[in-house]
Amino acid sequence: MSYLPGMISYVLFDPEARELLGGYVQVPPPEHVHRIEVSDEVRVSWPLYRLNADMTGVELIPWWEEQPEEPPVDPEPSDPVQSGN
Amino acid sequence: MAYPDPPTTPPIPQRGDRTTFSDRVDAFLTWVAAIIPWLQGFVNYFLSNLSAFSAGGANTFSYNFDSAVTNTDPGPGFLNLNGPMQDSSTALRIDPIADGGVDINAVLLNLISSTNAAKGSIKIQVLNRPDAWLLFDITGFTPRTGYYDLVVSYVAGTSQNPFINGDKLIVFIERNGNKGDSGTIGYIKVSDKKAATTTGGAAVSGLQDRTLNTLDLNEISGASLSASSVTLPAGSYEVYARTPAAVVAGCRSVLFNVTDGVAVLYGGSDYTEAGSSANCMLNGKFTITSAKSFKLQTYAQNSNNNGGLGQPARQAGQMEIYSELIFRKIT
Repeated sequence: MSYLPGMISYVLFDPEARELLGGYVQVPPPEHVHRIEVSDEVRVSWPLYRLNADMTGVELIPWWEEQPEEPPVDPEPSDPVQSGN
Repeated sequence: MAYPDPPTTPPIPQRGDRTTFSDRVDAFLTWVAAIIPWLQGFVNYFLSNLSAFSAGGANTFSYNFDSAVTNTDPGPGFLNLNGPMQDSSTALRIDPIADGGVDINAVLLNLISSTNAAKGSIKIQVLNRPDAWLLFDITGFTPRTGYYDLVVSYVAGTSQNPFINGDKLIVFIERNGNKGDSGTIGYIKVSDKKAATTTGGAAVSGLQDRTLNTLDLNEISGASLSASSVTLPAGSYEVYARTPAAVVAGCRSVLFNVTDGVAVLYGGSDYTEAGSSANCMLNGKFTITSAKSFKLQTYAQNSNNNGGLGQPARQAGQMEIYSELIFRKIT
């Protein structure tokens, strides 16, 4: 896919936490230092990927390593709803 | 204007009638001398009225070429061009009365009334010379006393100077449609994406910024996403957004202008009670005259530490998608 002049498709990562932080297609702003150019497919579904060992690329997270399911929605709100609402 | 009747045909000379033969030959030759210019005029008249026979086609008229390049009235039945080379002309002066006396004022006024940048086109061709023509776009006009001064832009032609002074011309005029409504000229979509089964996060009571960590599509030069804020260049925008909320009671989405410190748009009121979620929708339109940054917020009436900013879809092997924000640049 072609982009507007100067734009690239990339994922942003935190080198200390070794985590991906987001996916972008744009002219990279100065604060987006730690980035890896990726395809459109990877960018729009970046949570399905993780950094590789040397942090030079990304790799698909195996399904058996996906995070465990979180508990469902609270049956009741944390704070009671005000009367009259 | 009706074309005049042809000269009355004289009696045919008869060799056997010596008493009338000479006079009839003289009368016949006189008639021939009269019928030839009549026929020439009729052809011009016919060509001038071709548009009446060509339903749906361009308006077609007969003109004569005036080689003058000065901005003067070419006179009835004439047109001229201003270029030192005809194909480099930027002005075409045309009399509203075509050859044969056809009044094309209405055609020219309709042409220049087009709101399109290119109001129409005009093709000028030498009569019976399909190899000698020029085609121009008409981009403007100046009304003059007795003639129209059209602003033209060369499109195509057979040579630099296909016309000579006095050439009989066929002029084809076609009007372009009016300028349409402006459509989307840029699009940007950002969203909050998280790993499978991850919630949208905890909700606090009150306004809170939403995470925007994915720039899904960016077709606006100068637009960017950083630290959950979208920066847009000057322009008018339509905006569509949703922020999910769960079990926080009342809720709504808010678009906040970070640069100016003001809320730009408030989404519709929504409500999510125990065991349910809400998609707080926001849409509207705004204009900015310089680059601004925006963030998406959710107002929650109550806090909810357990996924108050959205519950996961829990689709196997897929990520979760929470807040979504779309801008369409329309001017």
